[in-house]
Amino acid sequence: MTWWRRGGVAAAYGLLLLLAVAVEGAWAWRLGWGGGAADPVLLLVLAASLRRGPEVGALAGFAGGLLQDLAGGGPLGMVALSKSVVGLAAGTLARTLALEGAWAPAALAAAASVGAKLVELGLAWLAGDAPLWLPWLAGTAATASYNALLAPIVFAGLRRVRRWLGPATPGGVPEA
Amino acid sequence: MILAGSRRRVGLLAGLLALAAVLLSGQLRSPERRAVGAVGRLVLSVLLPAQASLSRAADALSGSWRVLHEIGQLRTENARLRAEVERLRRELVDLQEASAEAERLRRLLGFRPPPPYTTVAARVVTRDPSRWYTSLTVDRGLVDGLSRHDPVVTADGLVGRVFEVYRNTARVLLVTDPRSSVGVLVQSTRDAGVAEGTGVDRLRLRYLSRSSRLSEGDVLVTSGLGGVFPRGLRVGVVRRVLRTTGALFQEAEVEPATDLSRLEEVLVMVRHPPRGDAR
Repeated sequence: MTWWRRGGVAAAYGLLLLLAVAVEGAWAWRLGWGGGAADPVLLLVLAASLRRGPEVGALAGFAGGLLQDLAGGGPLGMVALSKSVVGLAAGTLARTLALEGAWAPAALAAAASVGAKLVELGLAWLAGDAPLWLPWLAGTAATASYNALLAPIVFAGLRRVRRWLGPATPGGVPEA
Repeated sequence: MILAGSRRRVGLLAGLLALAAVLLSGQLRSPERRAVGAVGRLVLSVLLPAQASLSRAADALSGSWRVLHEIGQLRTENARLRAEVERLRRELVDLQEASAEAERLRRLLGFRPPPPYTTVAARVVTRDPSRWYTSLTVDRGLVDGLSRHDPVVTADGLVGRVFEVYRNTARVLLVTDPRSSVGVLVQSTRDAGVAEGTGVDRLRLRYLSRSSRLSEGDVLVTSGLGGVFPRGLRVGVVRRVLRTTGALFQEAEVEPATDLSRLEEVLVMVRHPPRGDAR
């Protein structure tokens, strides 16, 4: 892939991430339930990770998370770190495990949601913040359910975008 | 190759961790120390207006949905309220009916028959629509002590007399029946005459002396002559005096004291009340 092509892909992902953050801030919370809400940035990071490999996933996760930190008013780097870890892990797992079947996107999205929340929890714990467990668990479960439901739709939509963007890098998996 | 990939990933992760650590250091627990920098401000200058626009669109969508939802609710509410109004209307009609009946009965009970009569309250059960002013049937009969020629009245005045009695019902000949004639007195002058039925809602006063000073509005009462009706029952009010040149008597058109077209309950005056509870 040429440099200008890479730049185009990066710009496209950047715009999509920006749009996802905007959508999350404007719409997702309205549809929130049980203390959780859909996380379109996470789904986008997962799609990037599965399609273009763990490195791209990690970078996309960091960028998307940083945007969420920026827009959300939280400590800069917290969500960025959790999303980059999830992006890296998802890409790595996709290379070692056979993620096939209609349930795969939903299961991966649910697992990634829990993983991201756990990383954030770890960071909060390091900072001395202990969450209230019951609301945290409920919120995490709700977010995971939302993302699991949305993942097949988002992934299908991104496949259409990908056709326009061009072929994937060799490190990716075709499912995403 | 694989090893190189792993090293690259580890390196990337380490780099990102370091970057996150730099970002987080110092501002994790101190929001006031959060410094977004020039790039962050630039990103936010794009992101926040976009979020605001999307939020407004969501508000509009949500408002429209709410309106649609409220319309649905209003339709349901409207249907429920219509049913409620219908039920209350029926209830109101029932109550008005009960109230009117209570008022009629109260007036009826205010009637005090002269001795040796007592009264038996009866409900009008049938009427002949084609001969509205001739007869009617009441739901009292022999077992209630009714007998032929018993006077029938309301609180307003004379209705007629019983002319057929059965076990549980009786037929009443109204004063307006052409077969009916009642001996009457002009209440103010005490002049005697006879009130005959005409088949419509008027009586004809006949055989009244030419010398009698009869005028519109005079009240006629039963004379007590003939033995059927006791003396003093209101029969009607003179509406038009008819004086014919050369005639021996004067006549008059009389409006019955009771509105015979709207009778629902009447009192039958009986001389010998039945023993025990008769219905």
